[in-house]
Amino acid sequence: MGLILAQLLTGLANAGALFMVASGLSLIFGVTRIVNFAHGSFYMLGAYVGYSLMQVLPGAVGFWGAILLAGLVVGAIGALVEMIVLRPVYAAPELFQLVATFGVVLVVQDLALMIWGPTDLLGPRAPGLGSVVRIMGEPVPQYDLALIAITPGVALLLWLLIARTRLGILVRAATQDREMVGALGVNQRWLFTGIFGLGCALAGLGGALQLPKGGADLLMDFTILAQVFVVVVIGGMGSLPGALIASVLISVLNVFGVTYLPQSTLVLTYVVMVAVLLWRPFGLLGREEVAGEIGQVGRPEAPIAPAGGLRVALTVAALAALAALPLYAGPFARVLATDILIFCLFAASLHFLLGQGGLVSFGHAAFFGGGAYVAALLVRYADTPMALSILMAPLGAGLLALGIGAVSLRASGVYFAMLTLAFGQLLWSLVYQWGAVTGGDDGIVGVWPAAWATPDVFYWLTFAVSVGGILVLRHAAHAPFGYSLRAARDAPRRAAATGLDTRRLQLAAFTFAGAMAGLAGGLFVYSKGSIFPDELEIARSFEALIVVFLGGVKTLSGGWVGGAVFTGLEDLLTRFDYWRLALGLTILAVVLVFPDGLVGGLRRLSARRRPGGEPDE
Amino acid sequence: MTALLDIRGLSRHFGALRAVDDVSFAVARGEIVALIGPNGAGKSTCFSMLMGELRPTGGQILLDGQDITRWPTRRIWRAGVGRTFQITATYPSMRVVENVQVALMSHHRRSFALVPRARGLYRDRAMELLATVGMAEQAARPAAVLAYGDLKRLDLAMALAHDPRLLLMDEPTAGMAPAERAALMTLVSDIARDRGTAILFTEHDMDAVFAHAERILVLDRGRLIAEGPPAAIQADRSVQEVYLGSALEDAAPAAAQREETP
Amino acid sequence: MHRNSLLAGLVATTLAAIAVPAAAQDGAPIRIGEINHYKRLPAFAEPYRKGIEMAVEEINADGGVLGRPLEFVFRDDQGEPGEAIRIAQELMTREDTAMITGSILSNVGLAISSLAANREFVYLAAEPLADAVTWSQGNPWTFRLRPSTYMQAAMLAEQAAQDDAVTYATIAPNYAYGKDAVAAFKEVLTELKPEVEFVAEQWPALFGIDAGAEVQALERAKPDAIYNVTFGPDLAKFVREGTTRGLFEDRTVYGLLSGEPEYLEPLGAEAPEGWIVTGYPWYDFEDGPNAAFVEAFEARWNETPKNGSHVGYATALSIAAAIEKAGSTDSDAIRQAFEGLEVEIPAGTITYREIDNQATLGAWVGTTALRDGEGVMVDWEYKDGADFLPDDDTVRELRPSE
Repeated sequence: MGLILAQLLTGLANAGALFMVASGLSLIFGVTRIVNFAHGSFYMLGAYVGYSLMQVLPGAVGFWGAILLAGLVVGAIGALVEMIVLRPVYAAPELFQLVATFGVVLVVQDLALMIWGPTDLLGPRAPGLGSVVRIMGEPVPQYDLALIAITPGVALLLWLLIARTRLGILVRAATQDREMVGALGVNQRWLFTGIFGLGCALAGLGGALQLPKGGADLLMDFTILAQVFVVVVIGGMGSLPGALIASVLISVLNVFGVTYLPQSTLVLTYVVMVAVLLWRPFGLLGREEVAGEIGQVGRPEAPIAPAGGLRVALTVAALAALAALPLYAGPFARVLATDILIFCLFAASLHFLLGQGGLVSFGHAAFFGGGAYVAALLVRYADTPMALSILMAPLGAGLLALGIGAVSLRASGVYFAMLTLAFGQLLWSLVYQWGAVTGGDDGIVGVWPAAWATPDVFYWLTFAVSVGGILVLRHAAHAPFGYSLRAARDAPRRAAATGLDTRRLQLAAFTFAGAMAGLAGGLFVYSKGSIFPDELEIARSFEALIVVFLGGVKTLSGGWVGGAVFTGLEDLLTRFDYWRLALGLTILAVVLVFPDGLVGGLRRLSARRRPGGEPDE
Repeated sequence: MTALLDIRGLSRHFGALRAVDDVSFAVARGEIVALIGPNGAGKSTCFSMLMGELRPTGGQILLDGQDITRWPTRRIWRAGVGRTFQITATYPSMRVVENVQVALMSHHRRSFALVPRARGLYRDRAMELLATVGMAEQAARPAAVLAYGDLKRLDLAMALAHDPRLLLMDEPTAGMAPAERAALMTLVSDIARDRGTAILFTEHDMDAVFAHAERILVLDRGRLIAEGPPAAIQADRSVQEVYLGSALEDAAPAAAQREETP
Repeated sequence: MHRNSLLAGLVATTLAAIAVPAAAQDGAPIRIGEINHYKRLPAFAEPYRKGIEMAVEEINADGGVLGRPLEFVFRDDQGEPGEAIRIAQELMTREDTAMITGSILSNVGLAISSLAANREFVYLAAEPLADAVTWSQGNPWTFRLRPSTYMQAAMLAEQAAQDDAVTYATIAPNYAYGKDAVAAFKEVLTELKPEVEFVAEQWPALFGIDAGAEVQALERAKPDAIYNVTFGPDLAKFVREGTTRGLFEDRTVYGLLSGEPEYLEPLGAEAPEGWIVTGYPWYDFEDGPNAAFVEAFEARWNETPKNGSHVGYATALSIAAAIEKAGSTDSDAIRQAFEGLEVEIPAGTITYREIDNQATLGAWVGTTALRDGEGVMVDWEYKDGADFLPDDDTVRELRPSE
């Protein structure tokens, strides 16, 4: 009995910091519709700033003052980021802002390394709260009790702010109906800045508050981000009470999981997430997305048309040059081109889903990695020849996509994205932990091309399959399927009222894109000779998403162009010491200069050069 | 001979609110029927149920004697029911003619086809339909740049793609200039007569209703309060009381909208 | 038109970026490729790199290798196996390196090792600990310097066997390294002392530990002793919660690698006392090559060495010795030179065993204590790695590819 109570208290204490970070993310999303990837970075900044302040400020007053100040400082940084980086891109396609926040993540990582150095910092203990209280014989840390007291306080303050102030009215209005804010005559810009700052301040506060239970390290931004996503999604995006309930639920469940199912630490969270979302696709207290709210903001894209003669000729010439690469360039050129081609196919598959279907997936790496694992497992357990296993990769990934899509498409918009994220993470944690079959994080190694596939032959194979795949995706956009898919995206009611089965179309698109990603994965495993769970990770999904947005969603070639530019840039920049800073700043620059993505931006520029010309594809 | 559309005791309740309450009526083949009523009378709810977008809480919808009450939208469409929308629903990312082609592809069950290029598919038929609604010249323009009245015509062309037996039109002339309204309603009547298509439409513009409807149904607060030919409805005391008074108010926003339209 | 020019431009830049490889010349430096996670794990990678750089400076001051200067090409792989493979291929081809080394993470090490075997290129896995590197996934082209998970776990198990604790609980990050470390400890300890019983196994997520809950779960099992494999931020959280809640009172704790400065230093004054750990007690070397290395390192970098610094230093020495012995930079010659290669490093003479390409570098085993507000190892002893490897028949069985 005493143990169970103590465990409950541990869970509640853990819920504290988690709630603060999650409520900030949820608030920001609710009002501004920004999925803030940088939220973990603000949490990390809160920890580092709090740590530094605690070194300077003495005693208990200094300790608590440092925590509050850390929140304020991080809030101010957040507001500044919003003004400089996000304001200019609110008119861009929805969710585009997440690219900007991803740039911020990279910049913050390198700045933190520069300022605080590589060594983990151990947080100081809270003055006067360093020992334990015995409750029914069980030791309970005093600081845990402090956290349990502070969390409802913060929640109450937030509630008062939302329920009792004018700002709160605006926040609720904006969360429920974005157009209403404009109607209320509110200066929307400052509301957004304020809320973004407040959300970041909460993240910073959470980071500083957890110092006595851990410290500050350079990996904590991503570590917390996955957890916070889970909490916000389970609670319902934009819902503060939901975030509170979900933080407590996840934290307490984890504590009991640790004791009674110690092997389950990774999987448990994602199983809970998937279960909750199956039961309530919009989270415990979330609001249903209005159809068409996501993805189709801003000017509609220009109608597509097949390429003209000159363009076809130039493309053929460029492809011929690329195909002949082994004949005139060195072996590393071949390696780099192989990587770029494979990533282009992966990005193009996501781009098809996003651009044609209007479906934002946060878990596309599940199919890339899934395809790769299908091929690798076939080799490992059945000695399958290369050609066959590369062929099976898209099949396996397509089947996986069919299953995941059938469930995820019950929701739409951001919730659809979150369901794909949940399934992706579930798959990753299964592969990661089921070491007996998948090799766990030691991966599957030694999957090399067959003897007949010399490096040159393998390059040509990759070239043919990747370019072929991209052309097939492109052709699909020009086929009745692509048109029907865009119809279902542009005007779902009209589509249904002309006999289109919109959900089946979307499921087919999801499966198709998944299969294509799987094909890229099948090539990938042979190009690297090995596969590890990293390829299924959330980071890989986001990378693909960033690339697609950077390339341009509302264009036909945004996917592969983004993929090629990004991979090339990455290869170039990682040669420098502070490459994350450089890459982050480059991404931010692209975001600010080309809110339509690279292809969209170039197209606009060239349309401007030809006065009066309507932009075409 | 059975009616083309037969509605029996149709109801939709939202909690205590009876949006549509025990409504019964029929539409014959080739007949043009107007469904009118003040705002909130239940017209849109009624349409949504007819199109399968909203489930009735009670009653039956029969199409040519077949119960289609709980069918999904796309199946109702396949059974020969087309519709246009109050707020036009077209595909802004496509050209005008492609909008119609997509509907034709659906009609020919080619929506999932991956092999052919969509551009040339059913293009001639799409051009015919556009010509029918007077949009042939604009066929190559992006739908996103069309004027409001033209969007309405495009919407109509799409609704006609599968040669419907019954066409449901939700406020077909809303937001159009008076001259355009008359032209569109004449066009609709002609199409109905030429093809034998029955039309059920809702409308705020009483001129259009009385000029083109063969029969009028009046809804008020979810209930059907009157039904008959235009002359009888015009004379109906109860209709004048509950409906025509507020119709004057309704005319105001419509006029405002009209001015916005170029 | 514009899209065509975009495409053309793209192709042009790609081609420019991947231009013709530099040709090797006589008298030019012998280049060694080094791939590591400089951004992902800077606290581990930077001290290691400094060890390499110091060794290279010394080697070149002594006339280099085969009369040519030695040069390392350092590259960052973001901690991702896929990236590491691409960089390794670049190092093998365009950078014209004689062999490659690097990686701390086992998965990256395994990926490079597989590539090395495929391309018949020598790879010295300096830091990755996974047993698979030299055993189940071992290949003729991959050598490993650092004592493996198994070896270090066996060192602790040997200590544990002398203690009278009977019930043990383990806590290890929930991934391959943690699982290997627990399995090896259990195997060796059970063999040495059959009556021991493992009463709880805790598997926190890597860098996602719920320390309070883990401590409660361990306490609940009431073990006589605890075997810890957590590290980094997880270790800090575990130690703090465990100390606060009194988990470590009257219990012996065995900590794999917990005595390495990389792990101990961040804990500062809260470093646990009385844990039996493997590590690197640089602060207590009084004389001999170890002390000389520490002194030289501090003089060169104005900071204290970490375990990785010693490994990095030994890495460069090993490579120089191998190439010198091979007499050329030919891959196969270097591979053959590594087999049975003996190298003098600060810790002593190590041998790259012919049977499994594992070096016999050992580790220091001692007890943690606090000194001037810093965690240190006391009563330590250097354990030679050669004494903690299974017999040859077992090794052959573990190494199926040969």
